[in-house]
Amino acid sequence: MDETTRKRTTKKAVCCPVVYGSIAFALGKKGDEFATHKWTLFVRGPSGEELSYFLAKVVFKLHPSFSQPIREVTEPPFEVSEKGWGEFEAAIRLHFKDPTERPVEVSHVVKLYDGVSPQLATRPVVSEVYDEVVFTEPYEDFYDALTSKKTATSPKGGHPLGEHFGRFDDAKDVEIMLKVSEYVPPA
Amino acid sequence: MGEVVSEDGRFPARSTALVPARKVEKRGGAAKRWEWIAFKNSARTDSLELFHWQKAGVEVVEYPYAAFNVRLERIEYTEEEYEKHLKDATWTMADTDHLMDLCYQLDLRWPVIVDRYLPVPSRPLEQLQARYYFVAHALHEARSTSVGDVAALGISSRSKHFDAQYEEKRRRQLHAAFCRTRAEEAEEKALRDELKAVELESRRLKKSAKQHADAQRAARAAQHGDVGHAAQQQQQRAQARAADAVARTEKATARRPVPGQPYLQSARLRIPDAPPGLSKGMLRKLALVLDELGVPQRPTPTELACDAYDALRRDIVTLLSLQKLANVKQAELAHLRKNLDDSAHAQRAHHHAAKPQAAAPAPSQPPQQQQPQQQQQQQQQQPPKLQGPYHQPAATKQAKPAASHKRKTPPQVTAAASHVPAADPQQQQQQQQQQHQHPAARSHKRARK
Repeated sequence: MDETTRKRTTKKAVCCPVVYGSIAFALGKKGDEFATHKWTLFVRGPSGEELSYFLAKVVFKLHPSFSQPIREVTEPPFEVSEKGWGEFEAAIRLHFKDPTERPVEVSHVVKLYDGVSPQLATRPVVSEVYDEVVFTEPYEDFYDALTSKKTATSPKGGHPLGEHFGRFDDAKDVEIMLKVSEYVPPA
Repeated sequence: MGEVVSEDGRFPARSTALVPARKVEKRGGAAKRWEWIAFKNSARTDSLELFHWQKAGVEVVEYPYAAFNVRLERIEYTEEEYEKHLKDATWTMADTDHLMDLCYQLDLRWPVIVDRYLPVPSRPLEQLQARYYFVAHALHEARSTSVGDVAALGISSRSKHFDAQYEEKRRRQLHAAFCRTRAEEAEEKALRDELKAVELESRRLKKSAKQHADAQRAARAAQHGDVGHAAQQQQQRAQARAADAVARTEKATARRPVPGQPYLQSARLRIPDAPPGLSKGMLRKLALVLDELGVPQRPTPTELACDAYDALRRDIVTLLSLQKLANVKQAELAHLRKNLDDSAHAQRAHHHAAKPQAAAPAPSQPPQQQQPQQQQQQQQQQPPKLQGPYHQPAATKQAKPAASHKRKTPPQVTAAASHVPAADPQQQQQQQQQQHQHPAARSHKRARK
């Protein structure tokens, strides 16, 4: 893309909501010493929408004991599934459609255990976090791509693990904070 | 207790590995064969042949553990050398010989040496050690042998200046610590805790004494007729300080986003490790207030939630700064009142002497001192001009009772606000005048105090 012809928008910021996290199923008797769980590390849209409207690729950095610990996923769904026996902290790097936007890295601990035992194969351990990527004054074409996300369709039939994913809503938090702020006099 | 250690306090590393290098086999491979093999220990003088299990196919040239058979070098010296380097008023040559002999024989095992040491004035362990190290070092230096020999002599740079007195004290203390009973240990801990508490208290007192001194200085300035000016200055300074604190907070929370560097919304929830202008105590209080108000630890980081969270934190910091300021003012005010009271008392005595009949109180004016609360309310309703905008939220705050929420309003807010306006000098002068007019009311007020 020709940098000289591109223009940045002014005084505009776009928030792109994402959810990243892990979901782990205990393998029980089917597993062995080195594969007690099957887990998936993912970056998804909060309500199942596709993220390729602003994500170019996602790089998952797994524990060095996995073969090829650095996995690049260039197409949705942005996720990595593996079998393993231990929890570890994975790094997730988000690369954006506009290469001039610097990648953002987050870290996430792949949780396999939630303190409940025995672990049932039907009740996975889900550990996920809601966040938003904020682009400050993006280039105009990228801004258009970001804001036309309403047309971004969710994949047909939803995610195969969709039933286990949480819903995220800020209404309750905002309500608490607004209520509380009444008791703190504004400056 | 022999010190066969190198300069850095570690055992000297060996150039060759003691265990023959072998390949790490994959788990679950075929079992390895072991053989019952005869071996000779090169450290032995009798060339005794013993057997041990050894992995098949591993060629071992020398018995690896022979390397551990380290002997101390015998320290020997001629009579001349003794005269020249080793003379000591408390030691004879025969005793020294005997000690060196024992050290060699027993490989510097000091508890045994001290047990076997025969000469008549029996000496404590530290003296024997001191003598040995002194002799070894002195000879080593005199002969200037190579550094490699130091370990063989059982000495190192650490034993060069062996402090027998210090060692003796150390050993005694260790022994005492070892012999302590549980009760003694508990007592010591209690004492330590007490000391900590006292130190904390003294620090607190020092701090409050400083505040006290500040307030007194202000009061003294007020007494010297410069009432308006001094108080005004103080007030302005305090206001500037409060405004500063708020401004700093705003700066701390508002970092400019940079185009081309997208950030995560959740980053706005975190407070940077070293926020400029926010003390640790303030941050702790902020966290406490947030927690007490039931705000979630990590609100779902949408734009709206983050904005609300930011605004809330800013307001809390402002409130806390103002509270702190109000407390200082309150202390100041108390001192001013007291001083005024005293001076008024003196003046009243003077007036009484001059004109016995004082003016009667005006009937239209409510007797202020008899109704302290009323006085305070009046002050709130008519804020003096010098007041900044700060009292306003607190005042409106009082007008707006906690309606929809179960939690109580922090009580300090209203209390503090009611005291701040009273620091105005005009009002104080007015008050002073009224005090001249109301001898009876004054005595009532004193009783209140």
